[in-house]
Amino acid sequence: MTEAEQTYKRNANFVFRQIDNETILVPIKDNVGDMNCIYNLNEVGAFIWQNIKCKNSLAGLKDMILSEFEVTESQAEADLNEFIKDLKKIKAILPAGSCPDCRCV
Amino acid sequence: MVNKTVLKIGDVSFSIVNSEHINDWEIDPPYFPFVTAEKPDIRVNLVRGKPDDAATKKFFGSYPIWDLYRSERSSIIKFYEDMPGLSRALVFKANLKEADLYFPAATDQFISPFYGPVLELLMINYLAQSRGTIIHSCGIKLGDKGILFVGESGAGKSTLAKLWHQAEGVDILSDDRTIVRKKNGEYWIYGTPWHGEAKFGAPYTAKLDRIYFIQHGAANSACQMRSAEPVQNLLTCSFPPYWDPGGMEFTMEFFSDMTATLPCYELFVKPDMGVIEYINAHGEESRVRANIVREDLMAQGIGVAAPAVV
Repeated sequence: MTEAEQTYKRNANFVFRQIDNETILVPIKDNVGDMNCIYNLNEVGAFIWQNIKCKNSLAGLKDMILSEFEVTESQAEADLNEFIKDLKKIKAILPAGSCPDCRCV
Repeated sequence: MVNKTVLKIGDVSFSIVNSEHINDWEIDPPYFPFVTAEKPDIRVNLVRGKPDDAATKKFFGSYPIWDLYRSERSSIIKFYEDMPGLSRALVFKANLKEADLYFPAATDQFISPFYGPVLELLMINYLAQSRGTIIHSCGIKLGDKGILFVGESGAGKSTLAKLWHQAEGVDILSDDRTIVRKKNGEYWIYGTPWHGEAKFGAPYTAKLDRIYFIQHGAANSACQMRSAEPVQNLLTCSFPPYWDPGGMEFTMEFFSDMTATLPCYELFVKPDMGVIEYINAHGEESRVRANIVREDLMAQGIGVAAPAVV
């Protein structure tokens, strides 16, 4: 599987709420030491987060960004890759794998 | 002989029930104003011994004060596990109608049920079941309006409470922890006994009019906040159940709806009586502007059910 074909799913241990064009992301924690980790996604980040589902590959997400926002293809790809890298770092997303019991909506 | 004490905090009544082995404690003074004769929502039994904690899994740690464990049927919060003389454990089921507060079997064990965050944690879990939340804030009742001054430790909540205490027509609900709940579509604030260094805590309640997020400043000024920022600030200045996805989803929805309904401001505070005059004038100015906007909209034939936020 190439990077472009890679799919991800949202980690169920993150709760989120969309407020206007932003999305707040909060990890479910197991320790008081983690209590300052609240993430705020801007409009593009919120759009990507909403569309991270096991049926959407990175290539598919890039196409969605191009349809929704006025950006060049190279900018969309660079921003998407950077954002996915950040989400992986905080474990907000996980590789979707085969996802046989997919309930992604 | 069994007897009990009933407290009402944030419209929630707790009864603390003695057993024959535990009946020699006294009510902590901050709780005196909250004593009530009402029928309790939650019964807290004081028990000697150790809870059955087999098959429990640790869910959240706030060492060295408390740790939360869960089994299939109940939650156990263990307090001060490494501090002999202070340790205790609170056990409750999901419906939270009853809880057992265990103290070690040794008869010389210090046993005040008010020591530490026991009742506050019980309240956090109870409110998280779609009932409300506790916010790190100074809450006041100014006339018939409730105002919250939200801030982390050191932001100036207790200082503000002391200043408001000198003003006329003001009741201080709390200088550190205020409960917020929704009642008939409106947000209400409630005082708690869990005070800050200024030691204000009273069982007043008021309909919430506006929210200020405070920080130190060279001069008093307020700037309206919009979108996700007030929600983010409330999350960092409150006590939501970070270990519970359902409770966190409720809390985020609660804060999102509250900040969409009520005006929120970033407030820089110069800590003298000038801030009292400033807030009084600011409240009046906001109402005048809201009325102007509403009248404009109505003149254009656009119905407005409630004052528009400007």
